[in-house]
Amino acid sequence: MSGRAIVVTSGKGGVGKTTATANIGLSLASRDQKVVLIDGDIGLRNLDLILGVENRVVYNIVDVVSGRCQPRQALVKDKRISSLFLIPASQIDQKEAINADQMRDLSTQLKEEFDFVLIDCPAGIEQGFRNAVAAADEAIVVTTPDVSPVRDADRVIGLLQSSLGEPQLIINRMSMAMVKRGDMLDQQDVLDILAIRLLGIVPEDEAVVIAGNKGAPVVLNGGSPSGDAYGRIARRILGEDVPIPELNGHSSFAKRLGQFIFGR
Amino acid sequence: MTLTERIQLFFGKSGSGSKDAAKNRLLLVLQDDRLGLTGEKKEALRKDILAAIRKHLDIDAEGFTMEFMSSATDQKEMRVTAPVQLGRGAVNLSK
Repeated sequence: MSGRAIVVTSGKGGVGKTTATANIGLSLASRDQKVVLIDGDIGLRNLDLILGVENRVVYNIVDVVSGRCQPRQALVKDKRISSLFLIPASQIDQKEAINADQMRDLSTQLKEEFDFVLIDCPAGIEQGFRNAVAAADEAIVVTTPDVSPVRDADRVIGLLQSSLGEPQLIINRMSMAMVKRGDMLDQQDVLDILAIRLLGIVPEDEAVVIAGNKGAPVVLNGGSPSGDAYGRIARRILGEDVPIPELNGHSSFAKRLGQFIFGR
Repeated sequence: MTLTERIQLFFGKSGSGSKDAAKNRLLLVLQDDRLGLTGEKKEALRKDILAAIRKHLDIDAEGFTMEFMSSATDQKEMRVTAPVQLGRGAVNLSK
C-alpha cells in the first residue's frame, strides 16, 4: 500500500492549520481510512491538545527520527476512532532537530501502512516548513479571509508550486454576516487573488473554541457548521464530488424582500 | 432589525464595504511580491523612464511619479501610469 501524504500549511500562524488537520484526519478516519497525523511544529506542540490525547503522549517525532524509539512506539492511538493515530511533536527540541531527508523517510515508511499521512506544518517558511513539505506529495493551504493571511498564503503557494505543484485552498473562519455587509472578502474575492483550486470553506463557528477547550474536534459532534464543512472537505479529498455551498453573500432579491418585510 | 437596516439590506447595502479596500490593497501588494518589485527597483525604473522621456520631451522632473496597477480581471496584466507635467519650455512653445 502507498498512502497519500498531505501537508496542511498556511504561512501565517493562527489561521486554523492544526484545527483543520485534526478535523480532516478524524473525518477521513471515520470514513474507514487509516490515518496518521504528524505534528510538524517542533518546539510548539499542539495537535495532541486539540485532539485531546495529550495525556497519552510517550514518545515524539524527534525520538523517532533519532532512533530512540520505533515509529510504532510513538503512535498515539485515538480512542474514539480506532483508525486514527498521531505522532506528536517534541516540545523541548529545536526545529533543527530534524532535517528534510529524515521527514521524507518517515513519511515514506508511514505511507506503507496508512492511507493518509497528514502533516500539520508550523507557521512560517523556514526549516520546519521545508521539513513538512519534504514529507508530502500534496498540499492544502489554509487561510482566513483577511489581508495578512491571504498575502502569506500567496507566498506559500508560490513556494509550493516549485516543489509539490498546485495546492488546494481552504478558506477558514468565514463570517456570512460580514460577507453580506461587504466587510469581508468572499470566496470569489479570495479565489480571484490566489487563483488556486478551492477545497472548501469553513464558516466562523464558536463550536471550534468549545471543541478546543474539550479536546474533542468539531467533526466528532455532528451538526456544527464547521464540523459539517470539514466532513465535506474529507469527502472531496476522497474524490467525491461534493458541491461547495455558495457562501458569497450575494442574497437574492426574494430573500432581501423577505428580510425587508419580516425583518429577518 | 431597525427600519434603516432593513432598507439597507433590501438595497444590498450595509456595513462599510471595506472588503473592496482589502481586495485592491492585496492585489497591489501581491503584484509587487510576485514580481519581486521592491521599492528600490521601482525607484530605479522611475528614474530610467524619466530620463528616457526627457531625451525626447521637455517634461517637469519634479514630482514625476509612476503608479503600478494590477488588473482586476487579468493577473498577467499590469498597468503603469505616469502622468507627466510638460516643462516650462514646452508649454511656452505651444502657445
